[in-house]
Parts: sequence; C-alpha cells; structure tokens
Amino acid sequence: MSEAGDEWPPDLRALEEQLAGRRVEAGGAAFKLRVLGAMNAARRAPGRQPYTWWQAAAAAAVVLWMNVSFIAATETELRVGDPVTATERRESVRQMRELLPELTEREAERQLLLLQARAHTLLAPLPRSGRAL
Amino acid sequence: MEPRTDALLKDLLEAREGAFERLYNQFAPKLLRTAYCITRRREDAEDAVQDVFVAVVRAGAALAEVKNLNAYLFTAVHRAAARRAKERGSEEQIDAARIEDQRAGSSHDGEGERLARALQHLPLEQRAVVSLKIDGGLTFDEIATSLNVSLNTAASRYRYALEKLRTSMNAELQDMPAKGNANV
Repeated sequence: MSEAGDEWPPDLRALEEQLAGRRVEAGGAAFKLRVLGAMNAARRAPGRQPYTWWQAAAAAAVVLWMNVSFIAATETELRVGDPVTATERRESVRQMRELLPELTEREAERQLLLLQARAHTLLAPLPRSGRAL
Repeated sequence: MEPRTDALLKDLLEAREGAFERLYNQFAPKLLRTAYCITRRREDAEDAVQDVFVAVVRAGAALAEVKNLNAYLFTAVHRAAARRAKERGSEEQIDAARIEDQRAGSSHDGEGERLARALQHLPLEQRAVVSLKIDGGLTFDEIATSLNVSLNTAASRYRYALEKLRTSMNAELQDMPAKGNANV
C-alpha cells in the first residue's frame, strides 16, 4: 500500500492497516435511497432536455413566422383600388378629349379606365412608405 | 483498470438497469470515508458524495473519456468535499475539532477512536492524501494528478501525515493514565 517497499517502517504499515479498517458513521439506508433518487432524477433530466430545447426552438420559429407574416400583410400596399373621385375622372376625360378631340366621351372614359388599371399592375408590392421591400 | 470496474463503466455508459445501484454499492462506503475525512462533518460528507454520483449520471457519454473510474470518483469526491469544507470556513472546522475532542479523549476509547481523532487534527492537504491513498487506493502518481501537486509532494505529505498520526497517537496513549487518574 505504501509503494515504498521494504523502506516502509512496520509500525507505519500497521497504521495504514488501521486506517483502512476505520469506520465512518455515514451513509445509512436513508442516504442510499436519497442518492439513488437523485441519480434517477438526474438520469431522466438529460433525456428531456434536448426535446424541450427542440420544442422551444420550433415554437419560437412559428411565432417569428407569424409575426413577420402579419407585419408583411398589414404594412404592404398593393395599390389595388385606389379611390378615384368622379371629379378627377371627369377632368381626366376632358384633358384627353382636349388632346384628341376625335375621341368620343365614352371612348375617352374607356381609355382612362384602361390606363388606370395598367397603372395598378405592379411587378412587386410596395410598402406604404413607397420604398421597395 | 480492473475488469470489474471496466464492466461497470461500460454499463454506466449504456445506462443499463441496476448500473447506478452497483456504482453506489461498490464505491459509496469508501467515498464517504474520504469525504468525511476531508469535511469532518457527516452532512457535508454525504452531500459531497451525492454530488459526485449525480455528476456521474449527468456526465452521460462524457464518461467514455474516463480511463480509471476509481481515480475519477475519488478525485471528484475530494474536490466536492474540499469545496464544502472551504464553504464552512476555518471557524466551523475548529468547532468540529473541539466537539470531537470533547466527545472523545476518555480512557475507555479504543485505538480506532484515537486514530480517527488524530486524523481529524491533520491539515486538510495531509488528510486528503491519506484518504485518497488508504480509502481510494490511488497511487502517488494519481494522487499527484488529482491534487495538482508533484509526485514527491504527494508522497512526502503522506509520509509526514502517517508520522504525525503515529506521534499524536503515542502521545495520547502516554497521557491516558494521567487523564484516567484525574477523572477518578
């Protein structure tokens, strides 16, 4: 035990044996139950941890996606159905007929509607501020 | 590593049924002795040992890195117990030693009690080396690694500790008749 071979005095060798045989009043049956309980609890915990992490990550991704979608939907201006008042329409028709007197009023209104519809045909939606997304 | 410990380590890694109870049965008594030797308090010793067993479970796959389960456990319990002893502080330790002195010291004490008392009066570093050597069966090389000291320091601490134990036990044995007479 001493790793000292023959140099180790016999009385110290005897002392080592006494030390090896000493008793400690600790660790009864209740302690064993307590430790095994704690070990079982720790054993269950690591298995749950990655699953909980995965769930939390998925929930966070869903919330983020919903949030971005909501903002995009509410903040995007598609410019469909801009209100054009009757006065504006009449003025536009008048200006068209001034430039092209051969147009009938009906034809001028038709051209106006076509121009208006064409103006709303967008390749990409624009936010309300007018800047591209 | 001895085959029995090797098999146990394998079972722990695979989380086999009963492996943790076998670990407890095989190591708890000796680990408790080491923890008690360092902390000198039963509650702290038990808490330190529990910390070590729980840490083994939490280590999971990292246990594969352990080459010597015995040295690993005793190093861990030494650290856990030393931390608790430090948390208690020197005053608590002195109190504990005083209580032990009052409890013991009678002429009816056996050699075991006198040895336990003498052991408690050794400095922490020497108690740790003695316990790791005697209870853990660690080599001086393993003790040196565990305590982060040189091989020579570990070996000389052990020798000084045993010599001090022998001296204090002999001194107490010589004092005993006088103490016995005084009690009468």
